[in-house]
Amino acid sequence: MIDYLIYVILPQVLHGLVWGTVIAFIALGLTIIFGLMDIVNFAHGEYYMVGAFMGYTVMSVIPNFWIAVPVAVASVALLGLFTEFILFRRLYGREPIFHLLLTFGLGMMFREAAQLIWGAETKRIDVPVTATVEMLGTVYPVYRLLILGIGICVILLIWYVLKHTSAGAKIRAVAQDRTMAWALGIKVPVIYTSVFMCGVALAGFAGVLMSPINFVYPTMGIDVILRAFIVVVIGGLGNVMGALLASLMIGEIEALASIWISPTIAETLVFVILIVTMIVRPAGLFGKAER
Amino acid sequence: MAKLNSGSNLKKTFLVHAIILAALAVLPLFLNGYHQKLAVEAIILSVFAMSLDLVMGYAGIATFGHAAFFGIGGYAMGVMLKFLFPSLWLGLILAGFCTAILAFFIGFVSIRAKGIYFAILTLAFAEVVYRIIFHSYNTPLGGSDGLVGVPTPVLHFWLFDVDLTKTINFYWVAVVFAYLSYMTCKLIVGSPFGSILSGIRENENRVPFLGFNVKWTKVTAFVLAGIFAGFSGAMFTAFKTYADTEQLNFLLSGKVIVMGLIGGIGTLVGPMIGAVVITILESIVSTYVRAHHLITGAIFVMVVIFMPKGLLGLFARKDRNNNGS
Repeated sequence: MIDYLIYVILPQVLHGLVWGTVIAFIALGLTIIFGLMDIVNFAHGEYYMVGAFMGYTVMSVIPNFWIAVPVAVASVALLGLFTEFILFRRLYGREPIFHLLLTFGLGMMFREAAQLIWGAETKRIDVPVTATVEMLGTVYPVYRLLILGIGICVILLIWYVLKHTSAGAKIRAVAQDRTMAWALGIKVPVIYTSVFMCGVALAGFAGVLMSPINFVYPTMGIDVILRAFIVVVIGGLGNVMGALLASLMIGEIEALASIWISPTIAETLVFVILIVTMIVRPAGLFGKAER
Repeated sequence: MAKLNSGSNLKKTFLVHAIILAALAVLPLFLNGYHQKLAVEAIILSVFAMSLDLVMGYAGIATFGHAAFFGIGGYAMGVMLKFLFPSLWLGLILAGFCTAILAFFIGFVSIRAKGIYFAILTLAFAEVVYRIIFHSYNTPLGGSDGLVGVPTPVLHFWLFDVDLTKTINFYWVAVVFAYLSYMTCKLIVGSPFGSILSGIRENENRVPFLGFNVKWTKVTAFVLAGIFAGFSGAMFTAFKTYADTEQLNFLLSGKVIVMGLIGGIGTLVGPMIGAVVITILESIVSTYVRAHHLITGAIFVMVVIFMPKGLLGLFARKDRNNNGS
């Protein structure tokens, strides 16, 4: 019994935590962007994909993972800046369905472009930290724990910036009432652009962090984006804390369920959870009743 | 609106319909085999796009899982033709039946969610359907390989049979199918029920005060849209002789919304034109450019940014104002 807990359950719980953190990275970006500018970013997963591919590219030139990470994040942020400036900016104030469609088309373009540039076959980055650590007798790779640690730090940083800095106060003000915020002299477009950049950079960060564990391929964003959507909706659109809790929940459920049932069914289970949640609480598990 | 039409107006409408039908009927005589096939596909997809208009254009509900009905309709037709009985009629009936049940279930469950939540919820439902069929390896549905080897159905009319293996015959059947679907939807939209739908789109909160049930109206519209999507999916499978998971994929759900937007939603004809335009465009682009998704995606982006009211919206604005009164 104890053995079962240690050798089967514990690694899966950790896997679930790591996976949950990665989903949280993407979901946080999604939900903050939605909460602030009403954009449902369907192409968010593609920024994740671009992050992974940029990491791969840098690694093939300079085989140092710790150089690849910042370069990948920076390039994704730059891509975010461009797309926001050229495309998203034109749609502010329109219904969210238009953003869904815009980003849908954008996602198509990104996937195809990635396939043209890097090819359709899956790629893999070598794990930068190959050491393992022994916990209660079970062996666990350090790199995954490292992701977990980085994830917690980044999430705490986001929380700190949003709650305790003047920039965070401005962001919250714009999210609450953009006209009023504008009238008080907050430069709303600058806030929009910078938040969008940070949001997609977060997705790119997740992409490059996960690339040594998962494979890198042009459609990798789709798998992640659907999960992130589920998480965001379960948590309540625009609700940061809800998204965080929901990501960990989904990560754990998926990891633990795949002990007993096949991973593909565990994936479907996630969708079923979303549907049940929406029936019981249409505004999300952690959301307020009506917006 | 229909009652206000004077006699001469009715005559004019009749004339326009006759001319369009005649033009569509002779069109394949000038096309080669490949283009005929493309035309059949475009016409079948136009019904799919029109069905979406019932919910999106008239009831004003954005759904992002419409491909589920198209795909299930296709699979129903495939199962009927391959395993049960090779009749187009029975296939259509089964497709309508299955999609009606599915649409009722999805609609009933999701209708409480508003706006973008509804879109995401329908997306999730469609994704569940997609995944279930995608992973059904050991069943007759064939999992990710799709349901292949569907025989071309026999179409019995009262006295004679139509040979559907000839593309040109299928084309004419598809035109009739699309026309009948269009007229039915037109009837639905013009009926009191259609007025309630438009009322819901314009102001959902006031409709209950007029004594109508918003929830059931929406669910009914959703089911009707699902049935027509199922019909078109069924025709698609009958024509292509296979049903595969791409017909269920969320990419198709997105594409059909773009078809609607390109044509202009809330017009019924608009989405049909949009579907034809997109189908032709995709075929042209994919002939000349290897990375055709890049171009298609760019077109989607352009449409959303520059033409939120669609092609028809550029011209038919006046007409829509009249409808509102």
